[in-house]
Amino acid sequence: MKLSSLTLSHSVFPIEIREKMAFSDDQAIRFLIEMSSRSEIDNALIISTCNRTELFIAVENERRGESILSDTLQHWSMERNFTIPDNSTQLILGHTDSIDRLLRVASGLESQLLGESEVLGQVRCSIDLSKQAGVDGRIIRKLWEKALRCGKRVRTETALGDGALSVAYGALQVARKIHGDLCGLNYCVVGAGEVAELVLKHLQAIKGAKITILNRSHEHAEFLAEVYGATLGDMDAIGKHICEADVVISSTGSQQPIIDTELIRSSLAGRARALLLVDLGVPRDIDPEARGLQQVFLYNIDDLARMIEGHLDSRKAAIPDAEEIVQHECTQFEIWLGNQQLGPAIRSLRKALEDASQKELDLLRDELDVEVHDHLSKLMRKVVKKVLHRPTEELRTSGNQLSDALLTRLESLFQGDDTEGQKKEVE
Amino acid sequence: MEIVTNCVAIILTVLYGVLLSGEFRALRERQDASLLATRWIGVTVAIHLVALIVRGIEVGACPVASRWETLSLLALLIVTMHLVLAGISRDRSTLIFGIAVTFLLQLGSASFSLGESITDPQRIDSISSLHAFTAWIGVAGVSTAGIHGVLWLLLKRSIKSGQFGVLFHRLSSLESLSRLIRLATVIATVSLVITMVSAVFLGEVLTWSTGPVTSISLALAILFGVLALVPRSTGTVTAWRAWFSVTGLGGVVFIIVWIIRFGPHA
Repeated sequence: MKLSSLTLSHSVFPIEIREKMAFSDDQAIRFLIEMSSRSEIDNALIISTCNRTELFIAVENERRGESILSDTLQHWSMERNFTIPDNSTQLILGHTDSIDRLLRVASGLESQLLGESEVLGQVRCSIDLSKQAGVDGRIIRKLWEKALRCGKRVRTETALGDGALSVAYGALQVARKIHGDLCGLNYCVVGAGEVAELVLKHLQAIKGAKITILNRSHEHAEFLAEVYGATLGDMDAIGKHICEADVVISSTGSQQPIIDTELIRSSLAGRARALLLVDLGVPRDIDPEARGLQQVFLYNIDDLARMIEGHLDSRKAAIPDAEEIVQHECTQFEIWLGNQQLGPAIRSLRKALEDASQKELDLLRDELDVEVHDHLSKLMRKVVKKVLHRPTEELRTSGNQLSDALLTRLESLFQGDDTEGQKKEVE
Repeated sequence: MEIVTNCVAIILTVLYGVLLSGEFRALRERQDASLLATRWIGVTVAIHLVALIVRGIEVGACPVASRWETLSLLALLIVTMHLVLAGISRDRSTLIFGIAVTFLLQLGSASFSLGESITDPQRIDSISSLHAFTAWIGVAGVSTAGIHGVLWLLLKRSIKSGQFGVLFHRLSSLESLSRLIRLATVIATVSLVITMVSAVFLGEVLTWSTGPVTSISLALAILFGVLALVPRSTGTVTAWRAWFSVTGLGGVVFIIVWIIRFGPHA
């Protein structure tokens, strides 16, 4: 099995395009089911975050994988109305690059904000979508596990995730530039997802911050309000809440803007203080036209990432260490994958030798008592094991370099030998 | 005595230059200048103050009779006002700009001190001294408000357009700058009102005999008086205040150029 991937990320596409490519959980599951039935794939993983939409599949050969992903890209481009860039071939990665890609994504090496921790949670949740779509095959699950392990290792063993840098941190930096002291300001958090929770964690640390949470569903929002000492507001009265707020941070999964320019304009009437709107949603939650309003400062995720870039020196220094871990985990995965392909061949080889020795031993059954026969049988198995140990290890280490044809031949070679032996015996 | 005056003027220029380069270095390295740097600014200002007091004692009045004295006094008042504002607001992010203006004015003062020879300094009475001194405090206040107004507008533009350059990282916040503009506006207004009242006693306002400097000062006093009365905010009002402060700074530049060209009317 070979892996292939399609990567549509912030490094190539601006937010205006990325928001068209974003998948909600339901959309992702539907897509995976459809792709599974169309292309007969049972190993697929989709990661759709504010910075990226990435699709990983495992099929029998790379060429087929590339063809499926190329068709998918064309399909998305038409369905979601965006133009495929000229260098679209670079968006589709081959086997080794795909493994490396997922591990790098989980480690935060490919994040817009280097080393951010949110992406690991998003990768963790992605397997649920594959599971619900029935495409969480053994290969993709193992790769996913490897990615999580790699992400954790990078964060604990290197300085890549050090410091309190996140988009929420960036948003508060901008708020500080506008309002000075952050204490005593009114904050309105729209949404109750993972990003909103991260924002609330930062806001909780501010003395005297008055926080209001707005969300369509009250269930999780109530929980967050209780944990972070916020009040729960009515989403239908969002205009009133914006009017009272100094900083509005929105991160919902809405496919359409939920805060339009007119709503903001009406909230500004009679207002003395400037209003900071931070849109962390992809697709965006706040109409970009609002940027033109006099007292409004509107920031989206790309703006914040650009702002924080200057603070990433210590994280950048940790890149080589992180890449070393990624490389090691990639190699480990490839060895595992190679072993999966070698398994039948090694099993067949071992069985052939064991069967041959057992047959020879069985011919002597009448001449030996039971105890000696059993003892010799054990001895034979030990000898076979010892004889095969080194070749097996050699095969395992170079398993990922062997061609599929060779492995199949190896497997059939011993099966054939075994069958011929049996025929002769019958004769 | 002239040699001493020239030496002091040059030494002060060099000191302000050194302070400015230190602040620039801190700016480039994105570090806050240390408390030590602020103390050195205080020491320099103290030397400057002593030099002008000695000069005042020497001439028996506020030292504004010549170009170099006028520019040097204005330089001293601007840097002092920046220091006072930094002390009150605990925000020294704009001090570098105050020192830059001070350095330029002191440079002008030093060049005039080398070229001008005052054999018989003009004697002025105490009301004229008060008038001149408060006028210069007012001008320093307008300049300070103007400098902060420019910085407020630049920072706002930087935040609005998402340009995260030196100004974004170096300046404190729109709120803090807005507070400093308002404070400088109030100081300027109070001083200019005293100037105008003393001018009435001197009969200058009615006669308009001193050229456009008086009328511009009067306009600045009225403009800043209105600005001082308007409550502070971070919104549109501050934008207007910032723009008017910049206009005021333009008026100050005109006054300085006028004085350099024709000499102080006092």
